[in-house]
Amino acid sequence: MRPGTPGPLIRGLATFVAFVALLAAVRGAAAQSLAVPPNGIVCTTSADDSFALTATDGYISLPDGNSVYMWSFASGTGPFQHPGPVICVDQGDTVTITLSNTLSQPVSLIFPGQSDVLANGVPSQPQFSGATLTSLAPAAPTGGSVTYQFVANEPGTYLYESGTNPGVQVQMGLFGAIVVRPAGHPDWVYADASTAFDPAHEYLMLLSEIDPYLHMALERGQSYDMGQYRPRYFLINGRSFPDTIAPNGAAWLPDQPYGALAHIYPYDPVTNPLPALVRYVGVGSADFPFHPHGNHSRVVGRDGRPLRGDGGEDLSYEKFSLPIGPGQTWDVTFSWHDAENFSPSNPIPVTVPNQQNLFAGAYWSGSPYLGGTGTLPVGGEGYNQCGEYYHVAHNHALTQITSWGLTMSGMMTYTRIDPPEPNSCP
Amino acid sequence: MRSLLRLRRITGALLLAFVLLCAGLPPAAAAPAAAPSVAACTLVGVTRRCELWARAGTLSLSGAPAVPIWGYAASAAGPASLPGPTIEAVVGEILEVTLHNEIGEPSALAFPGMALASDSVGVAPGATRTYTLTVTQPGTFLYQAGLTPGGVRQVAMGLYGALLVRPTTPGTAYDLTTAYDDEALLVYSEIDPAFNAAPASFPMQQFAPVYLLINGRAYPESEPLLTGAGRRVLLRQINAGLHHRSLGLLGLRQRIIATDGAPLAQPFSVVAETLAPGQTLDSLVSMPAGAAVGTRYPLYATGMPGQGPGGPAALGGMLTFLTLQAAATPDTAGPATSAISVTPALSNGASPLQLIATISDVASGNGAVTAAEYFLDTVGADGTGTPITAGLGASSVSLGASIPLAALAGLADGPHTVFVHGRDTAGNWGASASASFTLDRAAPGVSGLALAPARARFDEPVTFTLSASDPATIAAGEYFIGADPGAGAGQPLSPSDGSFDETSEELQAILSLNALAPGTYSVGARARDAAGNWSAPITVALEVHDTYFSDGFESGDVSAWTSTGGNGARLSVTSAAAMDGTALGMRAVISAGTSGFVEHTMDADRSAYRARFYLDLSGATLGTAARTVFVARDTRATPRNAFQVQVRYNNNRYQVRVVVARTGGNSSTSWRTISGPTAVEVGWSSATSGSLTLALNGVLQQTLSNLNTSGYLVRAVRLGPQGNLSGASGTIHFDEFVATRSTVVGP
Repeated sequence: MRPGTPGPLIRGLATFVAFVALLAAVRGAAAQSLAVPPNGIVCTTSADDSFALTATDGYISLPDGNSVYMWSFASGTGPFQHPGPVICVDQGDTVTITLSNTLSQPVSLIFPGQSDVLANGVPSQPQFSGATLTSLAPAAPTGGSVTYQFVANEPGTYLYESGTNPGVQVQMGLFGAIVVRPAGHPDWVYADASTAFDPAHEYLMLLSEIDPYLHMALERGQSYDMGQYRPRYFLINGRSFPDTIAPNGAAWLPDQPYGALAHIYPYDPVTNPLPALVRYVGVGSADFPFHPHGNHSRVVGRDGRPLRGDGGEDLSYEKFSLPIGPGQTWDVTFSWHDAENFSPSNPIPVTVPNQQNLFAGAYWSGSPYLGGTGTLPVGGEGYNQCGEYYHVAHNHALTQITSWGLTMSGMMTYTRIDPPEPNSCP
Repeated sequence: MRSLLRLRRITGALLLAFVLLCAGLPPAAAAPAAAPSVAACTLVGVTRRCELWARAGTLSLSGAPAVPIWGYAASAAGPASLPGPTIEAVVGEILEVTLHNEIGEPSALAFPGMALASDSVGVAPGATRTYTLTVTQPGTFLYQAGLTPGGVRQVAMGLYGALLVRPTTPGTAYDLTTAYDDEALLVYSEIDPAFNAAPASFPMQQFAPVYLLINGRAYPESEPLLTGAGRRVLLRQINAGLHHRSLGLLGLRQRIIATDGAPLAQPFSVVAETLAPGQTLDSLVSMPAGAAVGTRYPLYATGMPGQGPGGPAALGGMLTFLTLQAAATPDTAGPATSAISVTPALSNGASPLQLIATISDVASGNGAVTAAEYFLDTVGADGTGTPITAGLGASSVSLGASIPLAALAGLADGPHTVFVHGRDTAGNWGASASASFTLDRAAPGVSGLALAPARARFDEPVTFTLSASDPATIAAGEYFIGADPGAGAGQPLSPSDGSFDETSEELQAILSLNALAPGTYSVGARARDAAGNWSAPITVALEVHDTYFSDGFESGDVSAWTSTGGNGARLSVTSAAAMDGTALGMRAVISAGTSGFVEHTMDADRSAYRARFYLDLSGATLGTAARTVFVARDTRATPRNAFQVQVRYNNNRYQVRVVVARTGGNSSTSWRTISGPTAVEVGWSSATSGSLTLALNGVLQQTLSNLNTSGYLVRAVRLGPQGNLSGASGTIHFDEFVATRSTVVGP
């Protein structure tokens, strides 16, 4: 995909940010916690599977320079973060989540895909005031708290979100992901050996959107006509491209701790046989048709169940367009297969024009071959580090890879494919 | 209280939300939108005929101004509903859906998923069109306004509804692997009031739905789906909106078994799934077995829409709840059978019997009646009877079946019993109800066919009598004259005692012979018993004649005649006047210019008259003047002679002629010479172009034609010398007078 041209200043800014993001993604900025990998899913775990979530407000940064007021869940008394922490537990665990609410509206938690959820010890049920529905689950008032509990019976990817005034509160950012790992097999998606993946390459893609006018109204304590709702920002894991390819915990994105760069090696039957796992969670108002470039992805599970028939049939299927709908989770494995094995000894059958007639993209390594580098044109930006490949992975509703009209931002990230080791990648 | 959900079928009844009833405090609201009704269809054989009226209407949503819509109505006078009435059919049926277009522009019907050519022309406002399609596959389908130029906007205005095609196995969506306990139809739709206010001109790019509806209602007016713990619920979901929409459950999963009416070879389980506009989705939800009564599970638009009068908590309106109600006690009671009848109850086995019964499970579990059977005379084990298949499926059904000839052929004459019972969805067979019928194949016997008189004049009534008897009851009789037209095609006989109610009946009729020409006829008759058996026919001869009167004076006097005239003393009956081999005849003496005549007056005016008498002039002195010896008289108003026979003696010969009156005067034959006893026969008719014939001794002498005798009718005749007899003397003999309508008498 060719970069757009929204204007030289903004484009330059975006490119600079992308460069810095890329460097930091690989080397890690000083402020990062060593426990947090630079790329890949960041799990919040608990020895007794008890978690504390605090509904609170804060701000996030967007690549057009805006900051947007958000509601989100912080981890206990930790700093504001968006989205909320990724709660990772094992199959069979009794998960206890205590919600504390500092916001001006009551907030609750619902857990689509979980059964028999308790709220303060009784089955979590829709709440009514007289005949009026007030919440889909018992809510914590301002300053109050509710303790939810459920048994994570089934492995898979799930969503938690507010069930109170959800038309506003979910749009404001009150959501997060839950990962349930099969008992004894943290490297399987489900209790099924055919869903094995490489645990070093596990990614979350939590897809959401923002209507800045709604957020501005709540920031100012004003009313907002939801009939005017119109999203302008589109996010992966709470960030908009190019922030999506910045590392986890990037210092310049203190309230947006989760990146979305998928960083993998090519498939090899001996040295790299297992695919990467991408857990997609949709929290938008409509389907996001997510489209990773490169070869197909394989959908192996939906809403926390493997795609297997009643007789054990393998119902997984390959897609290059994943229609991640709101409230849905899609478990998808991805392996990058070098189909042509182009190399200097197996050259791409194209006559390469000389440099005066070339336009080199920002990630051109100087060589078209994986692992190869070469001379860059004078003035070439040279973001490529070690001959790695990049495929863009993005929402194919192209109006949604924008930030309030600014193109080449929004719901987009990269899949980075490093040459097989040994390589010169940092 | 009932909800959108019902046991194995959709009622579509209008009702309040469960939450409203429990709270007891409904919010101040406008009248809720009408819930989908079931289309009024009639099933004739395997053809289901339905009617839809496309008309303008109003959608009333709580807290919002009324929105004008176009929707289908279920009756000629009913309101437009959004969605339209649900058409329910069974796989294999032929659907004939008649569209009555009452919106102000051409409109058509489309059935996506059906093998039916697209109608892009539609019918004009005020017109109707019938769409015929065969539903070959079970499933959940959408019907909507067809793609006429305005069709897209018509659909967005509300012209859509659900078409549910059920398999033959009740309680399943497609087959036994998709069996369910409760079923709900969920039609999702969108309303943008700005569009509805100006459907023709609104720029569709700006369509932004304000109201998100389930079955035409927005939460809190959406209807809850009432079910029970451990039950399996079939959700038939249809997206009639303009946007993709993800619908999901909280606390439950749904097993996707079909999309667009096509069952999946391998169903899969999700929490939420996206429906494209126009897409249908069937999923099964298993309610937890141990959950408490009253537990609610939200079914909602997972995109968490925030618009609409219900606010963000109501998710734009697209929210309802699967709610557990008290577990039903197990249904162990089978349906009751009543109102059973066999028609006819008395049969001769020549036609199938019609069996009707009403079977209802309403008071015994309110399941559906899914099977029915009947037994003849002996009740067998449940399920081994003759199945009754048409009309099943509702909780109360009126069934009909035909007991075929083959079944009757094996039964002896006499009383028999039919036993009928039905089975509900839980598999319970109910008690049997019975009806009786009797087979009677014994034909009646007939005898004593008599006609009185057996020989009758054409205008005389003939009384017909017949005796009939049967082991059962005589129910009818008939007669025929001439060729046998076949049993049942004759003229009816009446029972002499006034009613057909006994094993023996005297049957009678009055025959009217007016249409018959003189001759001999065969009259036949037969009788039928109450069972429909006809007896063999019996026949008797009937002679029809047209003789008005005859007298040969053999009685010795003239008493057969009505009266005498002239000088009656001049008349005598004597053997000297006998002619034609008889013993006696009439002698008329002419003396002193007078004589006498006998007169016969008939009971009616006649328009045809033929008179034959023997005449002997030998003893008379007549002179050359014409002397009248017979007149036929028209006695109406001023009596006139229609015709007369005259005699004279001329040129040494006796002569006779006939004078006939006609319009404008008289006509006469020429004088004919006779000698000795002569049979004189005159034939006359009243007509505008009538004719008169004279025959002597059987030989036609002369025919006068084209006489306008239409002004004359004959009522009476006078036989004997009459009129001017001055100068005449002697005797004239008369004998063997015969008068007919038209039959030639001859000598």
